[in-house]
Amino acid sequence: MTIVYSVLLMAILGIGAGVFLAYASAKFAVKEDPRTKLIEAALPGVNCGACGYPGCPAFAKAVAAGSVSLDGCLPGKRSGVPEKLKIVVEADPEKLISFFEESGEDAQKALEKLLEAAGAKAIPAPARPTRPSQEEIDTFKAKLKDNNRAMVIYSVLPNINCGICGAPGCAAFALKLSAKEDSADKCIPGKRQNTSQKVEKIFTISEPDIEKILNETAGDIAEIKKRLEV
Amino acid sequence: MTTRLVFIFLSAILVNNFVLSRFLGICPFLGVSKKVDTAVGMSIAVLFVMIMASIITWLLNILLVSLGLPFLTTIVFILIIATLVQFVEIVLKKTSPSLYEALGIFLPLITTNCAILGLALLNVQQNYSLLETIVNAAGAGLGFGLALILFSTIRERMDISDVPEPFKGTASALITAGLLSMAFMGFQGLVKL
Repeated sequence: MTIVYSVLLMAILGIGAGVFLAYASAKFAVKEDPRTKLIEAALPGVNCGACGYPGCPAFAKAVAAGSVSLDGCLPGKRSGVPEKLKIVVEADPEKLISFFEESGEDAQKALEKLLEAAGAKAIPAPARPTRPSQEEIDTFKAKLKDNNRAMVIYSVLPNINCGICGAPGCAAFALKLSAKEDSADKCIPGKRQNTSQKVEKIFTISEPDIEKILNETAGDIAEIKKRLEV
Repeated sequence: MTTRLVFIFLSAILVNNFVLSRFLGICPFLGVSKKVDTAVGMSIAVLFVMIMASIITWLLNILLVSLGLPFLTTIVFILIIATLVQFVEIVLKKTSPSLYEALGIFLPLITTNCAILGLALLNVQQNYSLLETIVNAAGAGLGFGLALILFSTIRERMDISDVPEPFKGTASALITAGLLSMAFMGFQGLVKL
């Protein structure tokens, strides 16, 4: 009998609490800004925290308030999230609300409609980066020996050869940078380590000083890095 | 009657302080004590939830005893406290957005705070009447607030003072918590119930 009673009691209490909370959340529902909801729908929703906010909803709120840059979402950066956010933020409020209501307050559907209306289909998702082969990496590494400035730039790159910048490996990217053919901003993994500022700093060092650094460190990457930080 | 209520109240605040004597609710005590502002917010939230939870669990306990299921107290109390905190959060969000923003993450965190459950279970163990339960809950909540706010003011001062490198941050905070707890031992024997 005890078992029956306990099961019944727990079942009643559990269901009761659930129904009560469901009712309360419907009764005390707070209407949120549809713009925030659409922004949230445009985000990857992985709650990685790389933007510095606790989760995607917090970031969406900040975007709606205009207190954060649209490209603050690192995982979404390469899948066109900043462009989508731009469309949502710049959309006409009345249009946005009508889309939201038309789609039955479903933020995902409303977002799709809004993007379609803005002709966002034209935004191509960036191609996936191709990782360079080991041979390619090695050939460009060998070329570094003849280019002092590129060697120093190479020391501040993340050296993970991810290929996101479009160059086959970090050494190739360093060569491009030293010839000023590319922007250091393209190094996405280095973004959080201020790589582009470091590269800029290297360009302020004169040619003889660069040679001096290389001679004193005997071309050791870690040593060059240490020298630059001083 | 009144003296007994006063004794229960004082005992809950000073002698059997939930944080410093019973060692319940240590997590927010260390986690939310970096700033006085947040400490005050957390204290108010805890005080409120403690009183609400005590009343409801006291009523539920009568039901449990009459059904002959006192062994279910812990699990039923957890369920009720969680529901209650969620409900309070929903209502606050609707009625007082500013308070909701101020309490922030602390409100949902209270759901899993052992001080609340501990209080509900202690009330039942002591066979308190409803009035005594409410007084005890108010005292416990105020005692929690007292400890938390005292501790946070000390920590704020320590942040700006010159602390030796190995003792910076959590190390000195833990030592301070120990000293504070020892200081509260001085209240031992102040009230006899």
